[in-house]
Amino acid sequence: MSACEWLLAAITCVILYPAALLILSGPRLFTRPFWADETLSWLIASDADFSHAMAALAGGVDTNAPILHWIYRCAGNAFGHSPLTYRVVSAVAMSLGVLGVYDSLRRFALKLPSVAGTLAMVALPIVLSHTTEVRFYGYFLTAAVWTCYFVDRRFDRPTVANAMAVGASSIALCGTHYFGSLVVGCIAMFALCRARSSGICRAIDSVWPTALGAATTLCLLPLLVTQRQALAGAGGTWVPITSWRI
Amino acid sequence: MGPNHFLENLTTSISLLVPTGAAFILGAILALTPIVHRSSECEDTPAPSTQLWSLALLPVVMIAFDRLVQPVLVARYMIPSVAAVSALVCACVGPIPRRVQLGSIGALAVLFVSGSLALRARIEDPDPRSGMGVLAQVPIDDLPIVVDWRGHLLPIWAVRPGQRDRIVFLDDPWLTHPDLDRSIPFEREMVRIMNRFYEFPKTIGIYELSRMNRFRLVTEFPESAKQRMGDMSVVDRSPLTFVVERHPGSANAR
Repeated sequence: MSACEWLLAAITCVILYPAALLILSGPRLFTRPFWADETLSWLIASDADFSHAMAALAGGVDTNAPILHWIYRCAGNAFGHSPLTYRVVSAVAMSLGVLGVYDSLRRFALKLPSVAGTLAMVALPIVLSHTTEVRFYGYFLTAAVWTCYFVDRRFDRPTVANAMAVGASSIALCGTHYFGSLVVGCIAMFALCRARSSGICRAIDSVWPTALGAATTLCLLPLLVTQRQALAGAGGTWVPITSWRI
Repeated sequence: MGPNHFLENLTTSISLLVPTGAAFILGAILALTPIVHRSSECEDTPAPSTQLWSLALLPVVMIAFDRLVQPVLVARYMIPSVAAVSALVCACVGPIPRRVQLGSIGALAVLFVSGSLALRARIEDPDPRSGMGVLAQVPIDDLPIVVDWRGHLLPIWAVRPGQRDRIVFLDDPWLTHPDLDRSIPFEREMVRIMNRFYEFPKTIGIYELSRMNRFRLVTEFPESAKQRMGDMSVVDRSPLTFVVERHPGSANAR
């Protein structure tokens, strides 16, 4: 992919995609009030006392990993802790994920199929509705996509820079959501299966930096444990038991 | 929410499960074939073998996690798997003629536009049970607001700073609902945790309600509102809100 094409893709994904949403879905998409879970993100990110915010997070006010709260905190301190600020930050994050999908597809496919694949993702209702959501899912998707992208790159060119990129994206993935470690597992398993014909050493070499993601989850384990303990009296989760009745 | 009828609830599940299921099958095939780079240097071989396929494994892993550890089957928890849908569409569109490819892109663009417009409609006319829907049902006035569901309380609290001192959470230990057996204790516990760190929301017991002469009840359980308020007068105002008044001489809410 040429630099010119990449620039065009970046402009389309990071500027035109949120702009299209703004036009089609209306400005209230970015200014609408928080719903319940979003209020929790805002409450912790806008807490004037950082250590109190982290204590509240550990105490179960929100039951997620902390990176996203830090991102909102930085953005809120710079531009104000308003729905608009938080939703724009979320939209930028999701847009970077869309760009990552295009870049990933483009490494292996031609332009038109890559555009179609990218467009198929952004047309999904779940992606549209989470683009401006002040929760974890846009970042989660973005971090997963970029981890995939950098694993592909690392497989092609096993440089230190690519290893660092895989490591950093894995840390972002696991620091955004606890299920990031499951995603890292999927990525590593697929990479090992896919690359077996090129030799197991090369396959391992392309995915070992994702271990930093798993290490991040280990580092967050005390936080997860205290959150789980705080909610022990309520069964630990609101998610109902799954029924497979059709 | 009761049992999580994940397969039954096709509107939330089908857009994720069906394409990722297909992506999983195709991804498994590709995982077992060697990597072939097919970028612009090889214009005639457009089948992708990108790492994005790996994300189609996520629903499978999550289903195993759900069975073995704890319930987790919520569509948004699996959102990374939508990237595998991209790889699937890319692989399907790759081999077809250029004109059909352009047609597919046009069709997908129409899907994007219609999805965005549907999102606009949901924002402008929110579901009455959603946070924004509830917010629209609560007028700005001097009545105390008693809310029995944290999901309704938080948006009102966040958006209406002028009414914060009049918003209370109804902590009702007898509250039950066959579909919300896990959510009700979870919500009550979350309110206690929030109180510990942020000293809000204020809570009120069901018997303390009888000391209030008049208040606005915002409830997740409108069907049982009148019964729960005992001999107080309950007037419907909107799907989830009621104005509750004590009859002269009545002592208890239950």
